Amino acid sequence: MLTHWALRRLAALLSKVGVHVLRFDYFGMGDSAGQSEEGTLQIWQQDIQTATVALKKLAKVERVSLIGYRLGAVLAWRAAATAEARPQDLVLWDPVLDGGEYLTELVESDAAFCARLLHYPTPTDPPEELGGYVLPTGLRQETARIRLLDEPLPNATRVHLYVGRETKENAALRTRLESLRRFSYAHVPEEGVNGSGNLLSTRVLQVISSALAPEDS
Amino acid sequence: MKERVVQFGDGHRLVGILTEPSEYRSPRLIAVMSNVGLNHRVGPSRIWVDLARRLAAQGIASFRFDLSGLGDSAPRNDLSGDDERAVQDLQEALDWLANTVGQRFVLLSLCSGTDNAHQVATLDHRVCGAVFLDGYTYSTPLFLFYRKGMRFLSMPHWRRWLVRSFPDTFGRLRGQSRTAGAANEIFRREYPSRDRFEADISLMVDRGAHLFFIFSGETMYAYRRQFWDWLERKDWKGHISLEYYPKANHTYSFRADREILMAAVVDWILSLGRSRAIDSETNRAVAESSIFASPAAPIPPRLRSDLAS
Repeated sequence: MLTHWALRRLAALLSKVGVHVLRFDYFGMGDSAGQSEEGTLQIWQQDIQTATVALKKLAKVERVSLIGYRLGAVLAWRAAATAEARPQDLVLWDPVLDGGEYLTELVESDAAFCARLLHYPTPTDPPEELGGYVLPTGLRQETARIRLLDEPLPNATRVHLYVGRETKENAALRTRLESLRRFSYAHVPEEGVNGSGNLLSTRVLQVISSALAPEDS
Repeated sequence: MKERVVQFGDGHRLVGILTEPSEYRSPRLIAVMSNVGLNHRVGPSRIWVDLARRLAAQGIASFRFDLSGLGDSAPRNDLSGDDERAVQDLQEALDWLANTVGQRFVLLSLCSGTDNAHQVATLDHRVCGAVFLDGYTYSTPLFLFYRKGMRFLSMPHWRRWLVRSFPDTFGRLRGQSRTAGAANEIFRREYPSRDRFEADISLMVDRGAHLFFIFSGETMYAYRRQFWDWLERKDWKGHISLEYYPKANHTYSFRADREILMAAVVDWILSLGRSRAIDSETNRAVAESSIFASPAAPIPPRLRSDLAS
């Protein structure tokens, strides 16, 4: 819900500075085809390539930039390695660094939600549903294996890392990405209600749109 | 089934997704859904998307759209309040659908969305059915008995009370410290009086509309027939269906609950489509062409002012 809201605002800011924007839902998510439980990281990574091809055609441009939030940042990082998707800019917005920890966060958030309910199914370990969606075994296992610090460096002309919290892991990622020729970093503190990260922050949206704005805008 | 993005309304500000079956069932009914709280048009846990596609598989079209300022729809540039804007948006959606797809509508709504659906279903003769999920509720003596008295014997109430009251002890034991969503108590809805509610339902039913009220266990509803107990009039049973899912939460966030709900809603809409009464009565209403004219009952002053705005 908040992600949709934030990405819509970001798209508006980017279009104001002259950047064409395509927002899309992964397979099995939002308005896209498929059931939620049919999605896999591999399919979603392929979706980014499909979206890239579509955007190039629609906007008549030769290269695109990718912006990914949380798990989307991991997918964008991986998709950037392919010829179709290799981006001009790759924006990693609060990327998931460790899939296991990410799943634990989601489980805790679900538990907090259940604590407010009178009735809920007995929690299973591993969880079968998270955040209102079915979590198929394959997707859970794929997600648990994510270790962004161990992945090959992303393939993009410029890479930007924006984080809401300065943690030891984020610092390690920053250090690793600093070896790239063109890299930028910003810490945009989380604000707003608990659990929303910096999705409600106008500043992070401005930072991203400034980074991607054409030089003559 | 085919789905397409639609921009409609004044200045094409509003955005919706039209889901059409490969073959329409007769009569042509269109289910209409909009935002639930701040969720965009997919609904919580994508429930509207699943429902739209299940309905399409049964030959029924549906339209999921974003109200002004929510999801992908642009805000309205006028001074009207949120409720007025939502009612105007819903009517613009029905106008667009009436010109392009068909003229008989079933409104599906959840929580605060039922407020807008209730107003439009009261006024608009093209609405031949409405599904209200956790719509308005009113207290009854038996409700107070169950909610205030019997809860002391209810383990789920005790567990929730402990976790809410002592989150550091009981919350942490279960990994349930209170974080996201702590602001859910802030939201308050303004209810029409019980008499107003009953008058509105009279308007809907007397013109032939069929209504389906569904209540979850997370609203001010405590026993199956509470709905009938708060009403004076009892002769609507042929037009009003009722379900109570005491173990489901307000947004049907668990799949098993969603499956039961969606099966019930799809069945009800199919039965509505089979109803000869709906067919003839709604056809008559539509044929009378004046969408808001209500020859059987005058529009009450409050609704007239809503309409004027």
